[in-house]
Parts: sequence; C-alpha cells; structure tokens
Amino acid sequence: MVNYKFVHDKERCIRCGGCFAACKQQNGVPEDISRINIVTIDEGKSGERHITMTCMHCNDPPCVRACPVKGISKREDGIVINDKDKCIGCEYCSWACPFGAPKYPDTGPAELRGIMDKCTFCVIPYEQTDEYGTSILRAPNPKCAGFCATKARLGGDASEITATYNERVAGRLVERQIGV
Amino acid sequence: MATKTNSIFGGSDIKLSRRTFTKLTALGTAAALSGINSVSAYPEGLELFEEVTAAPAAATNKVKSICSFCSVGCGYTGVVEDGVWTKMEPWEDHPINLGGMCSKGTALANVTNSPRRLRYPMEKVGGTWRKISWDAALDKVANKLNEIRDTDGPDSVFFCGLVHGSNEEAYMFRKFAMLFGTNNIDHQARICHSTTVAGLLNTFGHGAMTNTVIAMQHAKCHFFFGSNAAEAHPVFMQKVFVAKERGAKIVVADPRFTRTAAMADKFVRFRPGSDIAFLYGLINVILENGWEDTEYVENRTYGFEYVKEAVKDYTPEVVERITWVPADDIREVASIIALNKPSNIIWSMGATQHSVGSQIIRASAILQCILGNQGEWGGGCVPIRGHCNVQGVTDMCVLSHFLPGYYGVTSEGSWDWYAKCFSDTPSTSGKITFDELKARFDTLNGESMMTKIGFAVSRWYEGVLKPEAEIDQPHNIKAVVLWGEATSSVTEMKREKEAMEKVDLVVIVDPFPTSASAMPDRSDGIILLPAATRQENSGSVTTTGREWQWRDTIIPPLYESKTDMWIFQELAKKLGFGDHFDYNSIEDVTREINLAVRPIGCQGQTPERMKRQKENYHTFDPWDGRAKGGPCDGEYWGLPWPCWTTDHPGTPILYNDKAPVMEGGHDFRAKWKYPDDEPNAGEEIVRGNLPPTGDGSGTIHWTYNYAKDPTGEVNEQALAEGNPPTGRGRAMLRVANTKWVDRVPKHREPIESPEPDLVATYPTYEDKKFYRVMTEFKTEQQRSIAENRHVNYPIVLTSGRQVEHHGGSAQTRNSDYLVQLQPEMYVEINPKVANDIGVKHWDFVWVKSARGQCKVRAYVTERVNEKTAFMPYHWAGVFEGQDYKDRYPTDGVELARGDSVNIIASPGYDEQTQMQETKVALCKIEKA
Amino acid sequence: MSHTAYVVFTVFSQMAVGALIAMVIADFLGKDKKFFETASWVIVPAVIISLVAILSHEARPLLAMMTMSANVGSSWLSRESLMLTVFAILAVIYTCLWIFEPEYGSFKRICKPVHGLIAKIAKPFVPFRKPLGIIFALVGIAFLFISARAYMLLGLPAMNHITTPLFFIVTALLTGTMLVAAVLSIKYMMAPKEYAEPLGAYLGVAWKVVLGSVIAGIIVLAGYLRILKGAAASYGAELAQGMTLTNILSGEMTTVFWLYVAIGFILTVILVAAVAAFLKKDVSKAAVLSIVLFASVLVGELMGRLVLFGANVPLGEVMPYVLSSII
Repeated sequence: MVNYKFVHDKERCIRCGGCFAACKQQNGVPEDISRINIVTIDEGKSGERHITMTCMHCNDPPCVRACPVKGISKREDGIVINDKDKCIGCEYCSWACPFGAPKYPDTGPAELRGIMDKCTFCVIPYEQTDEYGTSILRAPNPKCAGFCATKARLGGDASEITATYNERVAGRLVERQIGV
Repeated sequence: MATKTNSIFGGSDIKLSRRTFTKLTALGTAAALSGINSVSAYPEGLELFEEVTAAPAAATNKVKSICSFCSVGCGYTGVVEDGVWTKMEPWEDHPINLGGMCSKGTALANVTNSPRRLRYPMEKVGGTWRKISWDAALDKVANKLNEIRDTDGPDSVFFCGLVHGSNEEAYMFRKFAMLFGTNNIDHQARICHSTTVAGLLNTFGHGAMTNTVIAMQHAKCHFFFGSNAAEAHPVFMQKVFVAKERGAKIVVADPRFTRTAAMADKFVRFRPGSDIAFLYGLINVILENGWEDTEYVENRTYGFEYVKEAVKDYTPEVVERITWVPADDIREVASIIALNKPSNIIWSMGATQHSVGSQIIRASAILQCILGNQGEWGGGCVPIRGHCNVQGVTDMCVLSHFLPGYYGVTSEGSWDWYAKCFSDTPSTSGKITFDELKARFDTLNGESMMTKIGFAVSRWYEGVLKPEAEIDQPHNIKAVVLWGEATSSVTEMKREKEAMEKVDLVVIVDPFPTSASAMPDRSDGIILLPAATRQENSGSVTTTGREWQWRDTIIPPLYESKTDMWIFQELAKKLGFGDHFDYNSIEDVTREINLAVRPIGCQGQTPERMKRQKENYHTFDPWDGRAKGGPCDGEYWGLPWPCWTTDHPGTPILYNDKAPVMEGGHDFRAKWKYPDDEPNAGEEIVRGNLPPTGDGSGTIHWTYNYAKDPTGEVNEQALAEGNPPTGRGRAMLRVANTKWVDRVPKHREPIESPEPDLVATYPTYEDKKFYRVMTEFKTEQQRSIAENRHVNYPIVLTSGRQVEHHGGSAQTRNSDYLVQLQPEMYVEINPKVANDIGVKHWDFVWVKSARGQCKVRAYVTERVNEKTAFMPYHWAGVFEGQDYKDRYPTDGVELARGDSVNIIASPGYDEQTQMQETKVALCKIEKA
Repeated sequence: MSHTAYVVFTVFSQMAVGALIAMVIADFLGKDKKFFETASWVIVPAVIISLVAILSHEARPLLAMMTMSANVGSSWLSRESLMLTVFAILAVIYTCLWIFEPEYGSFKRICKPVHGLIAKIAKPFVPFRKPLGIIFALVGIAFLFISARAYMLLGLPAMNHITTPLFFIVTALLTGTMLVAAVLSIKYMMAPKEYAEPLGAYLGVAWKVVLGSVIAGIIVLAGYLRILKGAAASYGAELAQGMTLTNILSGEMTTVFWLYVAIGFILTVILVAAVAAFLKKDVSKAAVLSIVLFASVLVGELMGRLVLFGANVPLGEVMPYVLSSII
C-alpha cells in the first residue's frame, strides 16, 4: 500500500526557488499565495538552513478533523486533498495545521478568493475543474520534488523516500567520524 | 456543462482541455496588442472559441531540451499542447541534472510566453517607438552598416553578444564578422571567464573547465574560491552534495557568507582582491608541511622552482595582513584541501573579475598541480561558466582576439585556414580566397586590420568616445550591434551610455526590448529586432564541462520573432556575402564546425551523434556519465571536447594521463612557443616518452600538426600511437610567453584598494595599451590614493548573482514567478553599518562611488562584514535613481527594474584580457 | 488574518450568554418583572451581532450557514456552530417567555397582530421560566466551553490551555451582567422614581458579580502569562508560546495589552467601587456610572480578546525552526 509523503533534506536545500516556480506553473496558483513556502533560518549566520513548508500529507491530518464542512479528506494513497466546492473559507484548518499549509488567496478568480488552497501532491491544480466543469485529477507526481535542483525535496512513497533520506544521513554521519 | 473531454485519470499529468485557457492568455493578448488579427506563427488562433463544443483531442507533444540559463546544462521536458507551450516537466533521467532545475529553469515556459516580449521589429523615430516590417528593418540595418563600411571602414561597427546562442549561431556570428571585415566582435565571455581562458590556456593548454559537472561527485574536497554555486549554479550543488554524503569536505573562501558557505564545513572570509595572496598562503603552508605531490610535480609540471621562490614570502602571517584572514584559518584550509584528495578548486566570477584575474587563475592552477589533482576525477580546476553556452561561444570564439577554435587573429595562417574552410565546406556555396578575405579588411599605417586584435566588449565604448588618434583603428566606432547583450553587465556604464548616445546606430537583437533600449537618451537611431528565444530554435550547446548537448525547438518562434540563423542569413544576403550563409539547416553549420574547429577537437560531435545520445540518454550512468551498452556504448555524455574523431568517446577529464586516449585519456599540451631566454625549454616541457612521428625529421617529436589538417588523418595517426594530438607536455607553472609581466603570479593590489600601505608594497601594473585602447592601471590606482578614496569611500563593494535572476536579466526580470521571488534591487550591508547610518532593513539608501551612485534597498544581513557591501548585478532600467520605464517601447516595460551596480563599479581591467574588475570597488552608503 | 471577526464574535456571543444568566438572576430578584422585562430584549441582538461577525469572516457565508455543522463528529468548530445555533434558539425562546408574558410582556405594545398566536403558544411555558432559564443558562455555559474548546488546538499552542474557557466565562459574566445593568439603568432614567428600588436591587448583585469576575480575570490573565512563559508540551509549542508572550509584552500587541489592563481591570475596579459606593446614597448616579462601567467592561474585553487572538503565534509559523533542529 503506497503512502505518499514529502521529506525535506535541509542539508541539501539551497533555496533556489525551483519548487516554488514549478508549483506555481504546474498548478496555476495565484500571485499572492504559494502552496510551497521556503523559510530561511539564521540567514547570514553559521548554520543557515532553508526549510520548505507545504502540506505534509499527515497520517492523521488535524485539518481533516478540524474542517467543519468535511471539505478535506485523505485518500487511500495518503494524499490529503480539499474540495473547494465545499470550502466556506473559515480558515479553521490553518489553525489546526502545524505546518501552516492552508492558504487563502485574495487574488485570482473571484469565486475562489478566500477559499482554502494547499498542496495536493500535484493531483489537483488550483482550479479544481476545467471549463466544462469536469474535475481534474492527475497522477501523484509532485513537480516540486521532480524539479528540485539538489533533490533536497523528496516526494513519493514513504518507504522509498525515507530509504533515500536515511542513506544520505548515514553518509553524513560516517563522514563526521572519519573526517579531518 | 458542455461536452466532457477525454480527461485522463491517473495515467497522465495533463488534463487536456486545460490548454485552451493558457492559449487564450498567451495568444489573446498577443493578437490584441500587436494590432493584427492573425499572428503569423499561430494561424489556428482564431479557432480558439470553437473548441468549447468540439473539444478535440489535443495534440500533446513533449519535447526534451536544454535549459538556457546557466552552464550546468540541465535537461527538461517541455509540454506543448496544440502548439502552445503550457508546462514544464522534469527530464528525470538526464545524466547531469536528474530532473533538477532551479527557479529560473522551471520558469522557462513562463519566460518564453511572457507578454512583454518584443513582438515585431521596432524603430525609435522622433522619440517614439514605431513598428516596422522585418524587411524594412533589415534594409535599414544593412544600408547603414554598408554606408559605415564604405565611409569609415568595417572597423567602425562593433558586434557583441550572443552568449546564449548555440555553437552554430556563434560560429555564424564570428564568420559574419570575418566576412564583414572586422575583428570588432566580442561577447560576454570577455567579462566573465576571459581570464580563466587566458590563465588555464597558458598553464595547461586548454582554457576550459578540466572536469565535467558529473565528475564532481568523485571529489573528496570541494574548495569554492570565488564561486557562489548555490545561487549561480544550483544544480551543480546536487553533485557536490552527493560527494559530501560520500565523505567529501566543502571549503568556501569568499568575502561574503554566501548560501554556498552556509553548507560548508569550513568558511573563511577574505578581503576582496587579495585572492593571490590567499592562494599563495595555502601553497606556502602546503610546501612547508611537505603535502605536495612530489612525483606529480616532477613528472608533469615545468617551473616548480619559480613557484617555490615566489610563495616563499607569503607566510600565513604575511597573508593575514593582506587578506584579513587569521593565519590559523589559512593553515586549516590548507590542511583540508591537501589531505582530502582528490580536491578541486571551484571558481566563477569571484576569481576572474579582477585586474589580476588571469594571475588568480594561474595561481589556482598551480595549487592544483602542486597537490597533484589536475587530471583526476573530481580534482583539478573547476571554473563554472555563467551562461548556457558561454563555453561553446568561447570555443567558437566570438572574441576579438581569436577565430573559432582558438586560432589567433594575429596570425595570417589562421585566416588562411578559414578562407579554405569557408570555400571547402559542403554546407555553403560561397568561395573566398585568403587575399579576398584580407581585402575585406581596412588598413592602418599600411598594415591590415585583419591581424589586429579588436575592441573588447568591456571597453568598446572607448572606441566611440576616445579621439581617433588614441585608438588603434582608422576611425571611431559608429554603430553597435547588441546581439543578446546586456548593457548593464559592463562597468563604467555612464561612459557606455554616453557612447550609445553618440553612435549613429544601435541595433538590439533580443527576444525582449531589454533595458538597453531604454538606457541611451536618444530619440532616433535604435532598431530592435525580435529574436527567437533559445526555446524557439535548435542547435548544439556546450556545458561548462565541455559536453555538447543538442537543444531542440520546443515551439516555433512566437509573434514575428525570428531565429538568429534566419537573421544572419538575411542580413548576410543584404550585405553581399549571403552565399557563405546558404545553409539548409542548422546541422549543416555543425558539420562546418566539425570540419573547421580542430585545435580543441570538435570532430566527434556530429549532429547525428549528439541526437543519438539524446535519444539514448537513459543508457548513460549518472555516476560517471558514460554509456553502458546500447547504441552509444562507451561514449561519455555530451562527448566532452576534445573529441578527436567520430569514434572517440569524448574527454570528460582533461589532462588525465592514466586512461588511454581512446577511453578519454589526455595530457598537457606540448606545443609552446619556447621562452626566448630558454631556447632549450622544449625538451623540458615535453615528456620524453613520445615515439618518433611519421615524417622522420624528428623535429616534431613533441606534437602533431593536426590543427590545420582538413582530412583528420593526423588525429587518427596520433590516436593510433596512443597520444592525444596535442602531444604529451607539462603544466607550465611558469608561463612560456615572455610578454606576460608576471610569468609566475604575484599579488598586486586592486585598482581601488582600501589599503594604501599595501599598494606601496604590491602595486598594480604599468599602464598598457591593448585591445586597441589605452588602459590605466597605475595611474588610476595612484589617483585613487591621491583622492583619498579609501577614506571617503570606506566600504569595499563587491557584486554577484541572485539565484532567481540571470545575467542582464532581460528574461528573468520579465517573469512573474521570478519577480515574485526577487522583486527588487538591494545592497547587502552589515547591521553595524546600517545602524551607524540609521537605516532599517528594506529602507532606501544611496550607494556612492567615485563614478556615480545607485538608489537601492538596504538588505541588512550578516552575510557581509562591516567593511564590505554586496550588490547583485542583474538589475537595470533605473539609472542613478531615475526610473526609465517611460523610455521602453509600450508593452515592453520590464516587470522589475532596479539600479545597476555597474554604474558605480571599479574602472579596473585585467592586464591580459581587459576583464573588468567588478569585484572590488570602494563605496559609501548613505540614507536616501 | 483579520482578528476583528473573532473578537466581535466571541465577545458578543459570550455577552449574550452572560446576559441570559443575568436575566435568570434578575428573575429571582424581585417582583418588579416589568422593569426587568425590558432587558430581556438585548440577548437576541447580541447573538445576532456575533453571528453576523462570524459569518462576515467566511468566504461563503450562505454556504457556511447551511453546512458549518456538518462535521460534528470530529470538528470542534462544527460543534461550536451547532451549539451556537442551539443557544440562539434557546435565547429566542427565553426572550419570548419574557416579552410574551401575558401581564407585562412588552411585545403586544409593539406589534399586536403577531402577538396573539405566539402569546398563546408561550402562555403555558411562562410559569416555568425560572427552571427553564436555569437550564438554558447551563446550555449557554456549555456553549462557552465548547466554543473555547474550538480554539484549543495543537496548532495554536498559546490558546491550548484551560485559561481559554476561563477567559470566556469571565467575559460572559462581566459583559452580560453589565449589559443588562446598562439597559436597566437607561430604563430607570426614563422613570427614576418608579424603578429606583428594582435597579438598586439588581446593581447590588451586579457589582459583586463584576468585582468577582474582574478578580477572576486578573487571576486567569496572570495564569495565562505564566503558562506562556513556562512549560509546554513540546519544543515547537514552547517556541510559539514564547513568541506569543513577546508579542504581548514587547511586540506589536503591547499597547493594546496595557490598554486592556488599564481599562479592563484598573478602570473597571474603580468604577465598580464607585457604583457600590453610590448605590446606597444616590441610585441615579450609580445608574449613570453603571452605563460607563458597561462601556469600560466592553472595551476592556474587546481589547483583551484582541490581545488573545492578535498576539497568537500558530505552530505553523515556528515549525521551520522545529524542523531545522531535527537531525
């Protein structure tokens, strides 16, 4: 059973912004919000690191429990998606979410202003239906991870990406022992 | 709800009917704004509205191509739906980037579809921009160029740019200038890595990165010295991190705590412009501890004793005084790079853009030779080039002192060779003899201008502004052709602006109107020609690691824009040498390059081989870039030059004498002009194990005469004998050319030095006339001291890149995504400086130097120390605080504009190449 | 995030609960029911103001009204919304039991045609107004707790404490009691002689309730600040709480915080003392003062709520720091 997840490798992220631009383009996200935020910690100081913040597709998502209109759901493959038709824009999910993932745009199509938008693992773009009203559903193939310049952002089945990540961590730990 | 489309669930990434919306946004505005009903490139645009009921299956096309920003050579897939480029997808198995791209790369579609593109040729008449037809525009340009050619001579035209063009376009550009009859042609490599070329070429034999990006994974220590790869070449860091996870160390030496430095094991902050002293400090410590590779130094280098002598005085304590780096830090860095081998030295503009740039590169190369890293996988010199094809355009020598393939312009033999190639090539019908070619050039004092080095792009404006008597050409420059050249990347911008106002004609060939269209204060005489972007035409591009990749057309040129090849062909026709440009396809040009460009081994990169590699990319191992089985078995990705024959796999590691030449082995160049004072040096330079060659004379035992052999037989012979055609020589730790003032590098203070005491001990060069213009070294340095600039302008200003923008940034400052990420120009200042002048983060400040001033935001950060300030160099459109947005053509106003750091940068130039010294200037910062 | 909606919503919904409780107390106070009946009119408007406030915050208010209670199973917001609806209905019923009272109900003077039928329905229940009022007040208190529970989220570490419902109860008692007192004082001013005695009786109870509530409020606030400063469940929560405390004491909310302390506590205590002092000498002055006291309490509570919401740092904001400290 697949369980889609993201892993962020802060020892690789260099804040190139590739994930940001890839996401904007792939999902047509309006100007004033972004499904992915890059936060820099200790800028200009020793230990400076960059963290990308998106929906982490939690195993037990607090937003799903919090949403008063059952507008957020977790799919069988682990992806947490939101239904913009149901959303009332109460912003309660943003309080429940420990990652600050839900966003509420003030620009873009008028009928979607104030309606929650967040990462959908690239399954659903910003406008969830096409011009014929058909729901859009795509393969779980997150562009932020695919385009990540240094492969700091890993997206995919949890078992696979954690294996990759663990390998890197192990490599770094070994290096510390044998290093000068 | 209308007809349901054939939406694909799960299987594909693309929801087909989405294309209509994108097309409407991309083309609706285009048609509306261009004032015409049908856009030539998109006749089907009118059917947009009928698709609601029909909703036909869209023709989705996925095209793999190569990114056109930095030089790492990342591959991507463009998704084209019904002729509209809607999306990007990662090219996940591309051997170099494995799908990874930075923000610029992922915004490529956004850049190409930008509504701010130049849509049709335009001319500025009476202060307003007017649309003109292509025919009229080309006629005007050609007539004016012909007129100048007749009255003032061909040298009164200056061509520059084309750094993003393919190898083919670059070759055509140089050929164009050759046939026009001038050496006044240059491109951005002059201001980015010309010192690297000069430094490495005179040390090793080739002036290029000695590794591939892929090989970086094999290093045990990465020493970043004047490179902020994390921002300038993000995907390069992917390979660095792989190495790090395999135990490699990262050391960063930089005046600024960059994002690269943040990921380092050891960071040292040194004073801008003290690079050679720092490197010599390292070499001093290495020699003192006996960490040098004695065997390597003995077998593979020449002139070690001179280096030993030169570094003797640079003890860590002396170096501490010069560089502001604690002596213990120097010792620590030396131990890390010496004890974790193979180590390398990675640089970009931080090392090259100095008045001693060539010498800094020489010192870096010497360091690598002493450690024995040169020629190892992951070791050696790693200059990362700046633009997607700056390596290729350098190889095709859009330069005022070389012909394609580094044939020097000063030798008539080079011209003879090219006259032969132009006539013999099956790709074109034109014929020309050497004498006819020579006749196309002007003469000065009875000597042909053909063998005279032309103006450099960093100083071309002096050809306009200086009196005729002071420049080494018959008349002043009267017209300038900016072919994808950002005027904001050249220092002394005020003089450049003045020159652009003084010339008779400015031609700008670019996909965007660019800030160059707005900079000169003139009401007529600017012609804008809309060029296709690199995503709209094809050709081969060379990565920083010398790998040739085929760049495919994603979409045909939008609006009325045309490919560079088309423009060259039409313009050549109108100038009377169209028969030399009657190529049927871009591949024909590649074949002409295969024929002509021999010194660096461009025989193996045929269009067929490149395309075959592109189709079989999955057979290449990303660990070493070599194909394992399949149709490309044994070939290295991109056939890194030198690739001597069509059977050669390419040379990923230059000067690697451990592998057979047919497996990518190589060696230092053997053929040098012997130093006059050492007539027998040839014996020393050449390694003794070469077998005698075919002609029996015994005199050419040191090399093969392959560079002007049109048949390629000499290459075959050399390979059969197990040698690279360049011979087997030694690395020249002391340059052979006696014209160099410092044959072994020596620290010299920058032109504007914050340390007048040190200037007395380490003065710069004497003034020198080269590249047709007098260049002030000592005079300007002394002027700086006389004017007390180190007191009046107490902060050292350095400049560099932002990850979101690129070069002069005509493309990236017009992309919404990138502007959202990086909307404004700023100067990074230390919190102490900010507090002292009473400025808060993001307030406006004036940055002033002896040349001018910039009004920018203050970015308060500890990245810089209190003696240094940093500004990105991508910005233009604002000049000394004055926004030029009204001067652009309508609809072409750049989305984000900012003041240019090069208005205030230093007037220093490299002593070998006229490289501008952007990295060290003195400034002061005031509250605005 | 606009905090105004939450501030108005919470303060006014709590005010409504408090007013209902005050009316139940008043019901027990004396015989002059006609005087107290007037104050029963204010409960429903307070509920309506809070409803409008919270719906104005939604991107789709109409849809919100229809569907907000859809996830009672797991969402505390749904439960809050449901409880608010229940309370709003009960508030209307309770108000009806006052204003349709056959004897002194004031509705018939306003709109006779409508009055007949409802009065008929209400009539059998009017005698049970006191026990019903107690039940409704208990429901109101339950609503306060559920409402507070909706803000006690892992994602909002600074509010994830017992202090949140305590704040809400204090607000309810302070504002509700004084709202009724203010309305009664106005009524008293129209006919001073007639209503001096019942007003005196009510204010006699009210000032004690208010004083008690203010003291409770001070204790809760002190506890709240202590909690922010001290222990938290995890590193991230601790960080968020610390940043919240910074916002309150030396950040963007500092001014509002000290206004809250000055108006909500100091001025209120002074005014309560004054009301208590004047009550025995001059009821008319006490009436005027109690209107001022209501204003002071309301402004103080609005300020306090603004601090509570405005200074709040959600966990999402500090999460990058948490993530960066792992491995």
